[in-house]
Amino acid sequence: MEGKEWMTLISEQNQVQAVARMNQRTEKFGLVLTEEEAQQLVSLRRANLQEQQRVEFGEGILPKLIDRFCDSPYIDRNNYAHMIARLQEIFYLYKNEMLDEITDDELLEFMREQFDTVCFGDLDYLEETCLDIFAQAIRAGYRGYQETEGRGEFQKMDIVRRWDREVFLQALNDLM
Amino acid sequence: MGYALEELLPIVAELAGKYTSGESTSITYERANRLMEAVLYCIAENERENALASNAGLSAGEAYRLGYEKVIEKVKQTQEKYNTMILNFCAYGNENYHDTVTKALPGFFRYYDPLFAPQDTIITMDYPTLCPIQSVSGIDAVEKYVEYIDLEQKFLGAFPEEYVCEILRRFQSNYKRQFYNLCSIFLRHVLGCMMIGKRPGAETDRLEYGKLEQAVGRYSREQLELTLDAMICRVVQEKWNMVPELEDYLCSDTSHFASELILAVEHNYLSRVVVL
Repeated sequence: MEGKEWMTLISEQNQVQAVARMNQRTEKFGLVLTEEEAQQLVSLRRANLQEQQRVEFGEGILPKLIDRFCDSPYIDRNNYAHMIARLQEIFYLYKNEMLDEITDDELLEFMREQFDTVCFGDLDYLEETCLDIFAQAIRAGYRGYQETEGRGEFQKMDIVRRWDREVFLQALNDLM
Repeated sequence: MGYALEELLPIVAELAGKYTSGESTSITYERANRLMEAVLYCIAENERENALASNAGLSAGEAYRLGYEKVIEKVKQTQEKYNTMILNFCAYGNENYHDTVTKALPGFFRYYDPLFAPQDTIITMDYPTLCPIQSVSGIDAVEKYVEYIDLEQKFLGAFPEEYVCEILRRFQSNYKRQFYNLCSIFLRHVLGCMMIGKRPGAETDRLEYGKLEQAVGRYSREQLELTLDAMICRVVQEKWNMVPELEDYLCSDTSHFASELILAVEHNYLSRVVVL
């Protein structure tokens, strides 16, 4: 089969409706996408998929992504559409970076956990540090996330000492 | 293949779902392409058996399913044929022949994936057959290969092993480490002997190459090819009471052999082309 047209075609079915349907779940968190925003997300999805040379089937990852992140304390009505668009971009990038070794659910679980706990909503930190380190481990053959389903993985490979009680007391001592 | 893209996409999507075990909504272009190839291969497999499948109102999904079943069936039949052939297989000491048939072919059956990659031949089939395997892949290629190896074994097996080895040794002392077709060398020996009226296996004397030179000189290239074909037909009829597949297979070398004989006579190197 010549060309990549069929891959684009297969990736564009029923997307806007699937995204718009997610409003029913997210509106209790004060998050609602307008039709225009949903349309935009789907357009970005197409661009992301093309950029990452991937083809998506069925409803795609957007509804799952929205479902997984809608109750994050770092997402509100002002940044909702932007955050979801960036998360989608990061998701496809790291599916490739992790050589498709990780399932969608495991990657979403890892992203959500780090987004809230390590990154405090900073998408650049999530993309360039947490996911980069995790992807390197996976490419090197690490498969421990299969047992944990992506939970509590980053602490095993984190290279930075995080703020916990002891570090906080130490810092306080130093200041006094 | 008369199916529209819209008919093929749902089959690829379903296959992708199976490939990821439903745990990933997306796959790479490369993988998607390979799955599309798998679908097209199975549909073509079905159409090969029934050229009118798409005209007979068969949907793409049905054609794929039937084709997939045919692929599975073909793998089973080829493996059965291989299992029968390998019982009496003889490589005549040639390492490449031995390794290809006893190691590579079982590897194919072990790793062949009829669902996600039926189009992959996997192995390189390093031992060359008389008739090259072209424009087929996957199980179609291996089915042909096993069939050709089986025919070669039938032909060579009709002569004593020591005699075949002796001819091969006289052709090239280190034939055991070479990558050429053994059947061709022995077949050329048999045909050469027939051309000069010598009984295969009888003592050789130096004058025989002169006789062969004279015999070859009597024909044009086309006549020589026809004569060689007729000799093969006679041998197959006498030894195997007609096996058309074996005759066709052995005849696939006559065109080359006729050209080589004429060139060898012209440039005086007949003994390097045929062992008498």
